[in-house]
Amino acid sequence: MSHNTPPKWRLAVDVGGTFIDYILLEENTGAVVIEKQSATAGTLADEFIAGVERLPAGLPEVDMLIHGTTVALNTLVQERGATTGLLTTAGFRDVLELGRGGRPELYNLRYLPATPLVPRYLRRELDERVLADGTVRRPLDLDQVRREVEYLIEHGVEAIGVVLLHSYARPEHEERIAALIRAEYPQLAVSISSELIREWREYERTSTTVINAFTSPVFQEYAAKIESRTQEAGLRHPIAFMRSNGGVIPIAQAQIRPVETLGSGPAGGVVGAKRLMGHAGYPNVICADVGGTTYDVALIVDGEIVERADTIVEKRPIMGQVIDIVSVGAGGGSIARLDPMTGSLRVGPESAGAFPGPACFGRGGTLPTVTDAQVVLGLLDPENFLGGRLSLRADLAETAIREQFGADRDLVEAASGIIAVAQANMANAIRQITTQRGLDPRGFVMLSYGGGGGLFAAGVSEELGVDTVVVPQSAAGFSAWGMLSADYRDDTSRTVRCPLDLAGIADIRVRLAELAAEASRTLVGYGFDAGTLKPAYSLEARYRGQEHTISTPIDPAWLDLTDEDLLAELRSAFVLRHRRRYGHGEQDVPMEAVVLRCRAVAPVVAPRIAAAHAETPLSSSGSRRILFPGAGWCDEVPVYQRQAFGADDRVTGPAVIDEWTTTVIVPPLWTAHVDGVGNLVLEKGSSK
Amino acid sequence: MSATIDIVKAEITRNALGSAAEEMHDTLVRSAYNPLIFDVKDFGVAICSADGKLWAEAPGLPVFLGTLPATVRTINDKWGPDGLRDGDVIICNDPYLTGTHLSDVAISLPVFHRGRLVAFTTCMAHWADIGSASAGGWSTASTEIFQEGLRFTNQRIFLAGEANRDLLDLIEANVRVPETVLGDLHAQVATCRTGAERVRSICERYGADTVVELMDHVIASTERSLRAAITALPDGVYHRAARLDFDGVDRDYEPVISTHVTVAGDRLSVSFTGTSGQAPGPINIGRPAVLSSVATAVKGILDPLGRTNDAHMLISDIEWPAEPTIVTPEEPAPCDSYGYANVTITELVAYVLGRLTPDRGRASSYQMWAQYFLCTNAPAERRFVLAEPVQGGHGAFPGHDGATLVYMGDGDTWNTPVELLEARYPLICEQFSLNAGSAGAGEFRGGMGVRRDFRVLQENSMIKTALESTKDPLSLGLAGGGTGRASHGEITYPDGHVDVHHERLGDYPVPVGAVVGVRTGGGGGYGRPFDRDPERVAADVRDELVTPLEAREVYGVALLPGRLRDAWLVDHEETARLRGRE
Repeated sequence: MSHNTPPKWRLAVDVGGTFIDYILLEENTGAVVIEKQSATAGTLADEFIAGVERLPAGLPEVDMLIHGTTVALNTLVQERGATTGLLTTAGFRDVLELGRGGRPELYNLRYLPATPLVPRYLRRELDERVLADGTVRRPLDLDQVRREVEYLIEHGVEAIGVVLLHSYARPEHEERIAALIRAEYPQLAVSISSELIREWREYERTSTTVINAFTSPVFQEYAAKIESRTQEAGLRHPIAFMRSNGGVIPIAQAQIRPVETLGSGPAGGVVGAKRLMGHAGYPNVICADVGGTTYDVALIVDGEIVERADTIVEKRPIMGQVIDIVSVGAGGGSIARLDPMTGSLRVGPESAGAFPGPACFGRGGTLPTVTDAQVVLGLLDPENFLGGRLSLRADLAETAIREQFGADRDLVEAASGIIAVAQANMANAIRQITTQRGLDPRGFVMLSYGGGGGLFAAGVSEELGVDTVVVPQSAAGFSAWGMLSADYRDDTSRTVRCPLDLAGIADIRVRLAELAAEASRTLVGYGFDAGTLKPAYSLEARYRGQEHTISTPIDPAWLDLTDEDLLAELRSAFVLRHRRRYGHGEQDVPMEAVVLRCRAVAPVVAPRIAAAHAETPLSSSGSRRILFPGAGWCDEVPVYQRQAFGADDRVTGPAVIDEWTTTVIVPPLWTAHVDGVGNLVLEKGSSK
Repeated sequence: MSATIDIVKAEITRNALGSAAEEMHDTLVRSAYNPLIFDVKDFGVAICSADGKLWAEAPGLPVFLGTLPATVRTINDKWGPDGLRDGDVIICNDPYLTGTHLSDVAISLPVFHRGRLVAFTTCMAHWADIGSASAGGWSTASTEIFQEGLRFTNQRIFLAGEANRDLLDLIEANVRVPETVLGDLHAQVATCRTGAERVRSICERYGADTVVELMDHVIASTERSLRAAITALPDGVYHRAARLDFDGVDRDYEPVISTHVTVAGDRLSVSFTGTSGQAPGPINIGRPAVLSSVATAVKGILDPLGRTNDAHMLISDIEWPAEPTIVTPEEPAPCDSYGYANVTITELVAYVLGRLTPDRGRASSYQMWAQYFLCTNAPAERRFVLAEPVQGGHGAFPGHDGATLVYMGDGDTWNTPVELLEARYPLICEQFSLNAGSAGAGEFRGGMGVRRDFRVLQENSMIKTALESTKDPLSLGLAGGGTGRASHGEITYPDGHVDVHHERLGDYPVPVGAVVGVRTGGGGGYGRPFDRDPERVAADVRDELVTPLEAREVYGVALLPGRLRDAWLVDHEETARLRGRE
């Protein structure tokens, strides 16, 4: 660190299921400090502060505190939210319970949809009706609203969701209800569908609004506690909360929209990936977060994170722009077994979790896991797991595998089979998100992080034909590091459904301007200067007659063109994307704009990325015996310490590179070096 | 377990084929033109071996589980081992080959690897129109197949990669909505090609012969496990029959589907002895769909969550009647409304097996309802066909009340959001709610049916209601549970007059301003109503799903008004007296 510049600290605190991760960044140098603290529900605020106290900089010195939390998610998954009521259009109180009626498990005679978060008697109907074109068929009666709110309060309701039909087209009735409840019943947490989403599909919108209402009292209480504790400890700036879309919002907004934090956990890693890989010059990236039980994959295409407009949590849909993250049950804890039903070796999705954990943890687990197989094959060093904090029992790993697969099956063959199947499952998850979009995974670079990021990276890449793998510094804490790069942003959208022709273009222009103004207003409300905001537009378009739309970005510069030229750009952009995805797409047939979106971004100064290179020549710190598929046992595989790599050092596989919480495997035919910003880069077939 | 089979390669191949099928599913959903495909998901995709064994499928309609491999086998019957070329695409919708109805069109692609036929990728989708006398298909009163539309019997719609213009022109000239139909046809071809690419890359990896061997091993393993599960069932002959409603043509004809399920050691067979002769009306069902209907039930009991393969389909022996019956129709028997028999067979077999497996079965569910609104004689821009399955009550099982979901035959199909529907069609939805009182009572009650009401806004509109059999409701309770109430329709005319329908309506005109009400049936209950937790009964009364009178008379629960409105308290003393447990 320079001695002349005063340090500028930025802190990310990521609360997960069992641990709180802290990443403290010095902005001038990019240097980071990592801390960990165990987490228990109920005393989270105390533990939050306890971990902070061990950091080299105190809260008074921290300029920006970004917080990722699973409070809303846990509240939803455990169904421990507030007693919630719903106000909705007459005739439609059961929309929440009826859902879409599908049975995704076709043959399961006992399939059950999610239990509604609001029981029927707390779903109250209002005798009002707006039609699809926004005209009022029956006006709203505010006295009836008061009567129904009184009923709900009488029955102990603390939070109310308001969802009226076609409010995406005309939100006025919902707005009047909101104004009434906020003025006359300020004790209630109220969630209004049109304030959260301005898009059609009443079940999905109701589900989203109800989840927001259900989680908000618990979230508000937690956020208020954290706010007061951090202020007592001297924090001078409002906390920013991580959102599922990869941005952050101020605490006051997060308390109103907790539903937007539900997927924030894995979002940090993808935001970090965009920043890191953009810096390193890779526009197309597969982001793989390898945890103990799940493998989470996301994509960066042409420098932009791929998003989606809906998610499902425990059978409940949630609308809103989020990072598209596909999660499969594959990780170190995934259990392997011989399934008589298929006659094959299956791995996951069942996981041994942290307790009892893999057999080699010696905590009573008897079922073999991926981690056990890695121990047997030498991929993991039993004495150096989690920085040596846990010593692994190879004998228990062997026993577990033998017992599951039979004494007559070769132990090593079974262990390498477990790894092969786990890696194939991971590769299938990546194929799912790439080839389904018409993208070829071979055009991507893999960024692999999370505790198991370095163990599987090269193996999964080989399955896919990917020949470059990047393992970032502190791969296990990369998600928290990524949060430090998150911007403030606001997403607005509108279902418009108008033809993509000259008659419709004026309307599209007007709507986009409205959306931009709306998004900017929100960010200006956070204290940003309107002049610094950058709007980004996109359009959900389709051919007339189709249902599914394709998200098509709109270059802001096009808005300065004539109507004819703007239209031509929009239509060509859509056709290009359609062709990329489906291999066909006509230029001169009717198209429709269905949803318009705008995102305003208030960029946060990106932290510097530090490169750490050793000055002394690289030498191995030991060796071990490892089995590689195809190559067989390699007796003396050298082990290197990551921090020992100099700028020009390059090792050729087979090799192992160890870091505090991560082991990186370099298979034969691969090379590894540390790049200019500290990433470990693995390349296939480029031995130099 | 054979030591020569690689259990790792078997797993990787099995998963790769499954994920290829899922990719096909996605391609079809995202590129289709017809709401029945993209929103309702009335389709199925599969990957089969060159000789028509099912290797993998992806969620769609379970009935297509058996129909797709059967269709592939008929392609081989017709074209022989050397009759197909790389790039050929085959079209088939003949119900005597596919088992369903003409609206369901199967598109199949022979997959070649290194010059050899190694597999078929195939998908079946419900077309928006097939040129039948009744627009949109699902004829309610046809008397022969020739009234039901265009019929394909494994013709080549692409020849070595080149579109067969003559066939495409023929389709274009014979369907009411050619743009949609041809759009869907091309989406189906793209779907099969997507799957073919993946199959070829799997063959490239392990070799085509090895892939066949591995999948044979997986199928044999599944069969062995299923046989072991059958062995664990008590041997015996188990019977259930159901009477179907009026077939739309002959009021003197009494359709009955009768099933005898025999468990003997590791064999399970289903006979249809006692099933009525071939129906004069369109409620007949072809053999492959019968097989699917049985397989759906058997898989639901023995292996509900596993990936489907050929073993699930062929595990049951079917004893076919020798003469033409509802389940063994012969040309030119009409088959357009095969769905009633499809769901009936599944529910009958699941019910008798469910009695043997209290940990896996459930009480019976409602049969079905598919609702059509259409106007096909207006100028093109005002023409429309809306077809949607309407969900209803499913059977209860220990520990849980039944759910309200789409019928068994329709798998993962979805209702149409009211907001989309009102924007797209000249209709206003007046209500979509639970049909209180429709569920069969029980310690765990059946799922409720629904009430879905539409006001008609455009003149010359017609409806078709594919309404379940109501005289002998399918939704039987189990272990003392009650039967769900059957569906009915209600049309409220602008002058206030209400017509109640217990029978299907075909191409039935409805005036502007009339409200078409759908009331679907409830599911069967599980266990005796008097064993239901009184607090659950109180909650149902509070939720206006059960009346206080029903609580007393059906459930033996006496309630007292609580301090708050709708907060009922259980009168324990009176309840004990009512239940005879003083």
